[in-house]
Amino acid sequence: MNNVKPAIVKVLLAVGDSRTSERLRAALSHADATTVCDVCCEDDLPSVIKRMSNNSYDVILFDLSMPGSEGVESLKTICDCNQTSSFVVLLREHDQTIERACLASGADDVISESQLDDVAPTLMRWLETSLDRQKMSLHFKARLEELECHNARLQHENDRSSELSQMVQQFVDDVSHEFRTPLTIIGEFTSFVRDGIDGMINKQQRDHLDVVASGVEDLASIVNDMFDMNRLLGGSLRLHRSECRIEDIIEQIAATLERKVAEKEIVLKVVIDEALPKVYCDPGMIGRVIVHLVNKVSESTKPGDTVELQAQADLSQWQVAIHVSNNRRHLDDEEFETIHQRFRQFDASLRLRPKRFSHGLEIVKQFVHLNLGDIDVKNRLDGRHVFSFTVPTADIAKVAARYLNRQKATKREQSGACLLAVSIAQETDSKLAEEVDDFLQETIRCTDLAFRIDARTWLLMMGVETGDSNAMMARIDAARDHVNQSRSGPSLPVLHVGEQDTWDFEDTETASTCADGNDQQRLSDRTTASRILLVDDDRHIVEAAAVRLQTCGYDVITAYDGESALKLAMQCLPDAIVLDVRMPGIDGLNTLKRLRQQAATSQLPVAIMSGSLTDKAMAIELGAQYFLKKPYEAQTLIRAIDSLVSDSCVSCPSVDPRIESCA
Amino acid sequence: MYRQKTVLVVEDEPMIARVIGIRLRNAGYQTIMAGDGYEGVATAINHGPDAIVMDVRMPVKDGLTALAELQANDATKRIPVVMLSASLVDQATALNTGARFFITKPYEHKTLRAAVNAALTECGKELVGT
Repeated sequence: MNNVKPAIVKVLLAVGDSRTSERLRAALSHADATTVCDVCCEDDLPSVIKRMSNNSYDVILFDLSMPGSEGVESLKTICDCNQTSSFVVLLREHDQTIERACLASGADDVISESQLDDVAPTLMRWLETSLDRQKMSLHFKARLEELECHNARLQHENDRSSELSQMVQQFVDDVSHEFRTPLTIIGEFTSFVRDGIDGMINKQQRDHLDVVASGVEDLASIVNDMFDMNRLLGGSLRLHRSECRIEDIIEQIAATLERKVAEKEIVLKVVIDEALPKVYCDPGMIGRVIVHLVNKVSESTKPGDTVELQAQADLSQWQVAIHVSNNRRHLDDEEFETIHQRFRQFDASLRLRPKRFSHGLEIVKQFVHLNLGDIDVKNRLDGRHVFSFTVPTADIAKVAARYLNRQKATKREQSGACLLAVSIAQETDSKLAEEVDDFLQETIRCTDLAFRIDARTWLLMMGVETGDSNAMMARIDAARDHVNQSRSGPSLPVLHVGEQDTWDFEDTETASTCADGNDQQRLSDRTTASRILLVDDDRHIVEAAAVRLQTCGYDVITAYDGESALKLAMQCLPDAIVLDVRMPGIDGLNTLKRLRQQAATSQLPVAIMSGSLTDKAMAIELGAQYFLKKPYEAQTLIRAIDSLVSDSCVSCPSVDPRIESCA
Repeated sequence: MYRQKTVLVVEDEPMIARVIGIRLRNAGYQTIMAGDGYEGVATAINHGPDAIVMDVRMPVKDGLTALAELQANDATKRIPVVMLSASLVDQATALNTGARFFITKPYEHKTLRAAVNAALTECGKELVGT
């Protein structure tokens, strides 16, 4: 018994003369035992098109010269409106040119009338193809359904896990909230008794109450860590970065640190370098890092011994290094390895935490990395072990370059980054400007940066999908609208947001101009980096250009007016100067004149930039090597500076100034 | 002549209200108490305190709604408000609603005193300025 059902194949014979179509029909009916052909015939093009629109066929034999047909054009039309059928074209005469044209227009095969005896096998071959095609189509359809099903399930799981994750976040938020009220009560009542508000107590009682107070503080700090870790994992942690001094941060936590060490009868020695540069970080966060590290080191310090907190400038790396150490012998090997390894891995440890690794150090590492620093622990040669971490100095271009290197090295969520300038109207009330600052800090993600250039201008450095900075601008606008809806005070003013620059991390060209995140490499780059002085009174333009040049390996210093530019030029003797013409006080051309008059700066390569071409002649006369017409592309500026610097390397005085105008 | 400044404390948790009261009285202020946002707004309108210390999460009317009402009322909009919350999430909202100071629980009592002092001073300055 044969259970295999013969496959039914639908064939349309679109052939002009009935004799030929009868012959073909007969041939097809005896073709193959496993296939049954359901054959239809039509003898003019309009009927063929009509039939095709109502039925689907597996194979269509199309007579190119049938009535109504305009040859290849008609073939093209019917092939286009039917993508699933196989098309075999019948030619009255063998003609290679037409054959090729037919194949190019969508025909699967071409036969001529002289080969009509062979037409049955040819059609059968295409029938088979058509059957395969049908099978594949069914198979794909099934697979597609399967995938859609999987997709729906994944989507469901996804929704559910984000719902759960939100629940967990809410739970941790609530728990940390619930903890705070009793902690406040315990802390305050303890301190009433301790401070003698409720009557005299003796020294021992006071010491014991100090221990209680310190315990409350520890618990509060754990609650804070839990809260922040929760926000960090959920993506809602916000940083409030600003230019600040390490001295002020230490001052803020001094009382806490003193209590900690007094309780353990340890001496705390604070050594701060004189003239420490300002740093760029979230001061509260860095304060907590210091408290955590002093706590950690105190754990292994004996009463009477000293814990040293040291802050040092590391100017070659544009950072301040903070060391916390004691005079205990080395950490034991296992402890050292655990901490060392954890600090080394960038983010892997966020979720996988070994038992021996305390929660405190985990959050410390995250906080340091969020503030674009590094942390490590070392057993030093003099027998001490020391925890060290770094904080970048407050130089926008250098911080931005550091940010780009990190984003690239860690391959975070985004494939690129953008630099946006945000400004509000100059007449905006200063209190409202502060609120805009708060708003921007709250709106950007914890990994993004918001630099305040002046009271009413900001530069935002943000991770984006390549070419997606518009979406980012829209997001800022939407967030402002949202805040304004729920505000009772005056509305946040209109924010003018403009894109200044973009980076694509996948792009190898940018990759080569961006230092690669390797500290050693960066150091060697830096010792040879050319120093550029950028001068423009429009601060966000200067800083945006500085960010770009910094990422191209230049060391950039900036000035906002002619006077300070002259001072800086004398002090630092940069390798090249870029001067804007229109500036208040001494303008760019006069600055150039004075530079040329002084022996030390008379040969410095200078590019003049201006929106007006009339300044060009004057610039040449005064000895500028380059003239840049505003507005210019970032690449034009870089090319100009590359050329200025390479000229000065040869150290030949530019007798014949080469002037280029870049429109 | 020196007049003792009055601070309104709006806090639903009696123990917290008590410790804040003790601290502020020790710092030389007079205190009035209110147990929720509704009572807080009414007391502020009736007594016109020099400053307000207010919790965020409270029954009947929460602190942020009360703050918005205080800001909208001509009689109370100049009174400086120090918001107090156990939740860090509330901070941004509170500052956006017009609070000048935000303190998280548990707080250093010196911080509370400093915030109330600063709020009073700042408000005094503003009044001189206008």
